[in-house]
Amino acid sequence: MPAMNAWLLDFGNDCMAAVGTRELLHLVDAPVTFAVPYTPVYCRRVVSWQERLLPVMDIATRLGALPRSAPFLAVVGYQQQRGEHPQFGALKLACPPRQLAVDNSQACALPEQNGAWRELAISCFEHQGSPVPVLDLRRIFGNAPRAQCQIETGAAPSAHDTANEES
Amino acid sequence: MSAPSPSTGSTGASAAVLKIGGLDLAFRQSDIRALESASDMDGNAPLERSVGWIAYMRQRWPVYCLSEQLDVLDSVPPARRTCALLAFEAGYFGLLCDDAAILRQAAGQLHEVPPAMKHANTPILGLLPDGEHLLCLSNPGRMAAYLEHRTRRQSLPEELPCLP
Repeated sequence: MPAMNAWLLDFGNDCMAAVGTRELLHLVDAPVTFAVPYTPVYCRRVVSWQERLLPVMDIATRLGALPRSAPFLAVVGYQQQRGEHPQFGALKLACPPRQLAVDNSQACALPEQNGAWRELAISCFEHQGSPVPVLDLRRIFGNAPRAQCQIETGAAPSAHDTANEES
Repeated sequence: MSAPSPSTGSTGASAAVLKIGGLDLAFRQSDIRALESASDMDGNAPLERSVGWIAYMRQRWPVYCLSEQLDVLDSVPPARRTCALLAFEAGYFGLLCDDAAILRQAAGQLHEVPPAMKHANTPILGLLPDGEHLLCLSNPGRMAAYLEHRTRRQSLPEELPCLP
């Protein structure tokens, strides 16, 4: 029987991906999370885990789905560079993960219908007739959100008026 | 190789916590120069994207209203009953909040905002768990820069791709 070497993660909205067995560290049931303001819609909250605050990543929303609450969080670990201490993040899950045995013969192209996978995945394999991207955790959690697209309107918020009014 | 750093340290200074909806926005207590009733605000001819003026030190200073996501609001929700006057190097500005409280000493440790959720111009400098709440730490200079950024530019939705 082949060794299990991947976790299949279901993010809801028919959105699935995988991570290596050693990358998934902990499953949090009914997590308590905290909102952080001025953050990307796909990563608005943090969860407290082992004296750390981990970003909670919503992969389905990052791929275009509407944000939804998640019953589970998968705590994952990754290294920014080989030999460095691990970093941690959390992924919103619609249901508990399942273990899989994957080999090179299953390699396939990333799903073409959503180009966002190119920023999120490091490779892809076929499972039961569907492509399953393998998450690039270092890139997902290590990169800052894209700058907002903005247009100029012109105003001077920090200017003050000097009318003679008492405080 | 750097040592693991789950937090950036602890904070022992007392903080002023401005409640804005579900957001607990914390400043050093000394950053807050006055707390006024929002009804004392002069709503006539506000600066663009501000909601009025508050008087202090024989001058008047713009007052801004933010959502709990720190979007700049053009109209004031009824819950915003207090105006906190913040001091920074270029003067003062007012920030409307629902309530303000002094926190003598936060028990938790200060954490950095994780890179994946940190916009370059965020006014949030750190996160401090405090019981069932999360305090979002800022300072007046950073908040003023953020307000200038957000009021000088009209935001498009974050998720829309930039047009060439």
